[in-house]
Amino acid sequence: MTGETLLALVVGFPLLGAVFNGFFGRFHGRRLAGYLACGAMAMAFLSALGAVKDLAGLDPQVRTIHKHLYTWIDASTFKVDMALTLDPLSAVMILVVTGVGFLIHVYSIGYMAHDDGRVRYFTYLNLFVFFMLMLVLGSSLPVMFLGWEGVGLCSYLLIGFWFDDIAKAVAGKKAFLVNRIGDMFFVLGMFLLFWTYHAVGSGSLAFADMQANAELIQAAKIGGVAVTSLAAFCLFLGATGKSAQIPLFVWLPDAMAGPTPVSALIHAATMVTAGVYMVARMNFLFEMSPGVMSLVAWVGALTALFAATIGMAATDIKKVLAYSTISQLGYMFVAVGVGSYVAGIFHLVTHAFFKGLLFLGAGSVIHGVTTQDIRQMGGVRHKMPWTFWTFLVGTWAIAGLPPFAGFFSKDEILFHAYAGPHGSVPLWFIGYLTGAMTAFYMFRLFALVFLGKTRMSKKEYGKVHESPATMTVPLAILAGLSAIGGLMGLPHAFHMPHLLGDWLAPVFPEFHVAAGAGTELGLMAASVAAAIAGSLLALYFYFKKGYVPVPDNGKASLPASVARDKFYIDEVYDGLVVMPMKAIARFLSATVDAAGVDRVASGWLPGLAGWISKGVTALQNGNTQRYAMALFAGAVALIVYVSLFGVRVPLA
Amino acid sequence: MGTPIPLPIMPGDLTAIGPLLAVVIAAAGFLAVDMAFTREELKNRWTFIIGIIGAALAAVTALMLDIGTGESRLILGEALYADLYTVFFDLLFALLMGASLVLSWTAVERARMKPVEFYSLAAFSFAGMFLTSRAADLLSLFLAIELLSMPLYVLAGFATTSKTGREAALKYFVLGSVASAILLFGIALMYGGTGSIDYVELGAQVSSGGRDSPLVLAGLALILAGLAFKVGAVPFHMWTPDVYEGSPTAVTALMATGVKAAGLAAAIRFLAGPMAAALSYVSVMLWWIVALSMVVGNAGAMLQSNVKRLLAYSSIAHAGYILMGLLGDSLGTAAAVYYTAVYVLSVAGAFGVVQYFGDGDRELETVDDFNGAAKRHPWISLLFTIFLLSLAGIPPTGGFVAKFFVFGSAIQTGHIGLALLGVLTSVIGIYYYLRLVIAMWMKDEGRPVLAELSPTSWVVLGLLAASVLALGCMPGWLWLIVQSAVVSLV
Repeated sequence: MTGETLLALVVGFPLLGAVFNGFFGRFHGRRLAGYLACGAMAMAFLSALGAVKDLAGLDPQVRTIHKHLYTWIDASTFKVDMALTLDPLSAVMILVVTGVGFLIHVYSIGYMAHDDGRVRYFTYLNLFVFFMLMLVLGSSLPVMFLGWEGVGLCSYLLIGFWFDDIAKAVAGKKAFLVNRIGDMFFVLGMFLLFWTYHAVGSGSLAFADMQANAELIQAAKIGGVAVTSLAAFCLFLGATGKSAQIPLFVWLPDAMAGPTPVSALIHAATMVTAGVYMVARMNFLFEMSPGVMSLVAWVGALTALFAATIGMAATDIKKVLAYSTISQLGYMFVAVGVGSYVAGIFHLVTHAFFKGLLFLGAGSVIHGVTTQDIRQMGGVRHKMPWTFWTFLVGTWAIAGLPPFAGFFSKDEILFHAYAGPHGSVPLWFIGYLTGAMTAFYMFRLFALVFLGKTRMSKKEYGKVHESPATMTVPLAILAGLSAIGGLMGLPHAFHMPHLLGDWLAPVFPEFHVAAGAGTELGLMAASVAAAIAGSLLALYFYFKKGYVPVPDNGKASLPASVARDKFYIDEVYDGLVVMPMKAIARFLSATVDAAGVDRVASGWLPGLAGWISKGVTALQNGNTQRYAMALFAGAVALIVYVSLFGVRVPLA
Repeated sequence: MGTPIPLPIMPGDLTAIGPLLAVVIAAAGFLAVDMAFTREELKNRWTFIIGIIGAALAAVTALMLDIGTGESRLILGEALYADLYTVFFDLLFALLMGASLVLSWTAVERARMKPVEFYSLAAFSFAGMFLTSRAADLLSLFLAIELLSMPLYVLAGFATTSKTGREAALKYFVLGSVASAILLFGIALMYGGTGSIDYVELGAQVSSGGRDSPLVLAGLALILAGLAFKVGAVPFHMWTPDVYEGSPTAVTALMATGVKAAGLAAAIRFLAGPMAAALSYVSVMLWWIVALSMVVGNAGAMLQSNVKRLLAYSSIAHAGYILMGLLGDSLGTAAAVYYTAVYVLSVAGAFGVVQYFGDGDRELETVDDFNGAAKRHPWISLLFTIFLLSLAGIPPTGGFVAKFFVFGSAIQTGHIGLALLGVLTSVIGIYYYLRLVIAMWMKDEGRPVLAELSPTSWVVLGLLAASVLALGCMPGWLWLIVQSAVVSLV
């Protein structure tokens, strides 16, 4: 098969799976639904491998495969093709999405084994993968946006998967609404770009065309502000929604209400990285606006630090991981913000491995322990050896300890934040500090869950059991990937090829680092030291000393309680945004709509229509003479009109 | 012996009136069948066969016409036109004839009519319809209108059992005669003002000052009134509710589809053709006819409980929407033709479905009679819903696109108020069409009985529904055809 066909199959299989399970799931039953969904994912992954193999066979300079499916919109000067483009960047993404996605699908068979809603679950999950692939493969901004909205929808559906629990339904709604704010800016950015490109004679929003014509719009300005900056700013705000950055991160912790494999797939490995991917994809635009670039980097750095602080105080196993995800996404934005797209994508990939692993591990723990509160765990190690060891690998990787994946990708980001052309020492330092904190809160989590004596009752502890093979095998594979994933991006200082960097080179602008190997090795040593210090500190407190975080209503030091209460961000947003909105909505619904619109639209107008109706039917009394009279009257009226006005008043 | 007068028949003329001939021959065939066979069974079988062959032949001969470069051709001594416009309506009427044969059969038998008699009369009426779109002078026009009306006067009173039927027939006849008289008077005035009844000549005169003659304008006004009667536009609409309700449903279906489309085919040809130059002088009248039709038709339908009456009133409203297209430019004319096609397909389907509902001799009369239809007969209810949604103008059906075209052309030529009124009144339309949909799908206490549908009926209904949907999803191809068809009018 040709690469184009394979490309169509990559998106086709998950869609087919979703359609098949969605429409016929109630006939073929719950068990089969899971296998079908996994089969679709396996086929998609194989197709992706084949397509990427074809891509690799091409000359690096022309390394793209384009598949035109059909013309989506054709409105004179505005034309959008439903087309897919595979280039090195999207190749990396589809391998992650289908590969990790497949593992998580398999895991879901075990995790959701006892749930009645499995058919619906797997339908949504396949549908999500389809939209995610559209997002990364779409060859133009509108197609990407289609995927962007689609994954948002699936995210909403899956967060509120157990919608009979009101809190979970509310969490889904919150995620959806917060994302809409970002999406609005995405659309605004898209409109701005279309408007500007259109003005210079190119109405296409295809990435290739936009990149080729980028110089044409460089000088365009609105009110003294460069349009490129404005558009980049809007797109980045869109990214902060999807990728949970300041100020729109608040939905992600709540999104943990969904089933844990969903958290792993959507809220760790794939969807939340869409913002990073988008910035990398639009790098030609961001490169034209250095101001926005440094904004991206700084927002990323501050988010990383901020989320890590909350992660240190969180007590729900999934919430810790959620804040850690926000924090790691922050790293990725630091990378793309300083222009080191390769490092950003590198960390995206390794993060997909180890955070997917950690979430699945957490799911395995929850599956066995049936609570999410790490204060009520401990000692799980002995009951769940597979989960324990794989979780350790994940923790090791995310903490940035060599030689696992996280170490390489994070250090590349820190090095470029320090020595890159857009980098600076403060930026690096925030990342560095966050690294130490990451090691601390991850080992804190690890120690509280797995190590020491159990804090469960004897009966509860007795019930704890290892998860089935459908769950542990994906864990093991992801652990393997987390362990060796770093090999694809070895540091320059090691004088080894940076495989990922070479592969992605045709997509991104060149990135030069002024500093030499000495600096790189020095920084590396510093961050390893920080990571070790953080890890040991956590182990000392929560394993050696056996500290357990205080109960939610317990007394804690002021900084700790502020972090535990998430800096009151939710409350602040509630007061500043939600309450006023609700007040406006109440006014509109009670006063404007009920008393105004409704009275006119469902009171007066139907009354008027009914009145006319009665009049019309009353005239219609069945009397033929009257009908004939009406006929005559009409004809006479016409004649009279014509003779009085017709000749003198030509209209139009 | 004097020199023989040469017949004004040119080679190719016979092909050009092929559809007309096919239908007339079919009509004669029906009469022959009635005499040739004594057994009802055989009569019925041959009636059906001949009718289908006639309709098919009409369609085929219509397609055989060489349109050439798209200009109108005058045939038979300049009495008739042959062009894309006639082909378009020929196909529509041929389709209607086939649909009537298949879908109305049950209703014809239920009303105690003999199919062979019904269809022979209907065939003559169809012959009149085939003439309306090709009339090239006022006499042809008048003949066409009379030819299509006469058999219907008989058909309306054909179901001798019902008193309302006879009343309806008589009413239709009396009022129809009055309208014919008005039409004829208008023709006379027009002739008096111009000295011609020929469309080409009329067009030339009107555009070169003839439109300033009061006689011509008065003639135009009266011809407009006569045609408006056939189309059922306000204030010449008053016969429709009573006649639609009183006539056998098979006949009502014919009136709502064929007669209306034929009246529109004639009106559009006449007004957008020779009278195009004078149209601006009477556009205020047309404006009022359109506005009143939309308001009265929709408002009248709103509170009806009788389904046939409801459809009658709604057909008044649709006449208004279609005539609105004539207020626009050539795109508006095209929109009117497009709307006519969609309307005819949707109503043919809707009446097709209605004719099958009923119990023994009794038909379903009121909206409430349809309660629970979807539960017992989901597929036919689905088809009915598609037709109703199209009539209501809801996407993705053709009705939506048709309204879009009409309103769009009205707005483009500055009739924003009228377009607004159209939108507002179509909201009323949605209200009463959805009452039927709600009755079928959301109420379940009723037990409407459905007559057995033959496989052919399913196919025809399915095709009608599919075409209604296709015209909503892919309007482009027909829109292009219609646009080139109206070009030949001017």
